[in-house]
Amino acid sequence: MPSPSEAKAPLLEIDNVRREFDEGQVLALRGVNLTIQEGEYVAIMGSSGSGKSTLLSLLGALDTPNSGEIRYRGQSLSSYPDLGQFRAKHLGFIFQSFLLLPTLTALENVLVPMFEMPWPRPERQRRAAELLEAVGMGHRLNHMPEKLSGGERQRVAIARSLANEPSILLADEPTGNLDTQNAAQIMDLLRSVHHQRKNTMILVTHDPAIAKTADRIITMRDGQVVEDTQSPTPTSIS
Amino acid sequence: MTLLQLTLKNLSRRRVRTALTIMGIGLGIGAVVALLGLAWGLEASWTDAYKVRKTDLVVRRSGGGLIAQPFPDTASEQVAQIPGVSHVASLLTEVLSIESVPMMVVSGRQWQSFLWENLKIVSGRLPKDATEKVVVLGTLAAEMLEKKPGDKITIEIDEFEVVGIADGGAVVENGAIMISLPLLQGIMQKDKMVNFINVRLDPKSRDPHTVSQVIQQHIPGCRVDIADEVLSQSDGVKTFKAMNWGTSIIALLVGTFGVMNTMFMSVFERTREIGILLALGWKRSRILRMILLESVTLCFAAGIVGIVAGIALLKILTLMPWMQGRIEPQITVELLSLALGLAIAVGVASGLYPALHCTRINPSLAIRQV
Repeated sequence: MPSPSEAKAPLLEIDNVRREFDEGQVLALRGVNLTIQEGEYVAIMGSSGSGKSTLLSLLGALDTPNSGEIRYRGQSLSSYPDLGQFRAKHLGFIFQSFLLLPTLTALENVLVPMFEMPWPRPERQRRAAELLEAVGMGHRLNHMPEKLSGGERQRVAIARSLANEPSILLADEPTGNLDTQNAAQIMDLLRSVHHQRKNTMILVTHDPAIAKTADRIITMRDGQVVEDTQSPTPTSIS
Repeated sequence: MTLLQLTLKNLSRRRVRTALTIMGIGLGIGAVVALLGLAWGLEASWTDAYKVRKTDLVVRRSGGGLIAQPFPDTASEQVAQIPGVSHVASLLTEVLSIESVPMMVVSGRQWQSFLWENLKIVSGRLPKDATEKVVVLGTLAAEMLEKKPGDKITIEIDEFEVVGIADGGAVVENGAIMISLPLLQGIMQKDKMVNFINVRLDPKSRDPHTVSQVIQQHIPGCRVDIADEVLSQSDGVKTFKAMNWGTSIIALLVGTFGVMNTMFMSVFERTREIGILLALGWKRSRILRMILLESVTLCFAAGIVGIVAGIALLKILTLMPWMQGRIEPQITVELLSLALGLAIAVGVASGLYPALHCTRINPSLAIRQV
């Protein structure tokens, strides 16, 4: 639970963030400023090389900026002693290539993030099974990832992202490896998850149709935010 | 799901590699079990022999190996005069090739000394006197030579009659040929020479260390060992044990690098997965524990395999003619605990560097690996 002072601050503030690679030869982000409020459904759109995935890595505390600051509920991420713990407690990740652990069943994959939570084992089992049930994978709890279709794997990944009840879901091209039908189902599922759980959803995509499912579309080009619009009528891609 | 279950799943992913690694380090542990089992067995077998003879001190010439150099038997009379000494028994021990057995202990014992007391005749009899041209065989020696009372036996060029089979209560005694001292001195052309004096102390006397010091002062050039420590103090045994430890350490080092190689290959292959775990919020210390647990589990399994292999090797070795009657390998709880402890230590040593490598993985880069 956020403290009263934290509650007043926006969920995420990105303050003049720069990120360089190869000793400054590649400038991925050139001073990005953004504010994301609790419960928003945001799409970050841009072509390849626009800096959207770099921004997602920074928001996901997987990387750190060269300059500028990212604040979570008013507290700078650089002040967290353990960003791993921050990720475990506050963030859920959904990746384009699912990134399920191949030796674990669907249920075990959902259990993996819960290692960092103080819940007893039966509680974890129950939660994981419930989450898989909620994403329509209740009948495939003990299936290995290799036995699942792309759409099913992404459903498991969505269940895994919800494992520790995060406040923010970060989805990096979540339909990039799926056919149109599965992509539509996954986007509907994400929308439904957002609606039911009220988490903040930040979705990175290069596909305008996917971006239009969001309430807010941030467009990036050459490492900068070039457009930030509210979508009056988010659409389904199905 | 627990960390151990996750570990077992990771190890079972590449079964052949896991099995080969277990075999590799298992052989190292097996070598430790076999070599130390032999070294400890050698000590215990001879210590047992002194126990059944109820010998407190052993006098011999300084230096030399397991079988000491001979010295004049007059020393035994001097030892007998020393306060605190209740009995002395002279002994000439030789290791000879007897008929089909390449190495056999032949024990020439002072007639009517306490060295004949521990021999329980199981068939036949003891010699009538010191000059009767007969021998008594330990039970194991009789088996190895396939002799029974009444049979003839050739020692060097002299023929003797086997008059008895005796249980000496210790493997070294049972594997030996017992003969009266003057007869063996004659065979070996070492008249009035012995290489050991077994000493029993008066129970009320001073402690063995004091008596041994007095004996050493009276007989220059001699060395006196407390019976329990004879073997451990022997230069030959010290060398044997050092060689065994040396071989064991080399085997373990080879195994350690083998496991380290396996663990490195394993973590390099799984860089992306470790990146996923880090991205999902796993503490770096948990990743470290997971990799160490994999390495330790691998080596623990190798420890079990090594113990089984080492025991099997020792059992095979005890069937060899050169082992029989001399060493009864010691397979003790201490040895097995040491083997498992070493296996776990190898697991930690070989897993630590790969595990530390994993904790330095950048999750953002790792999850992008194909």
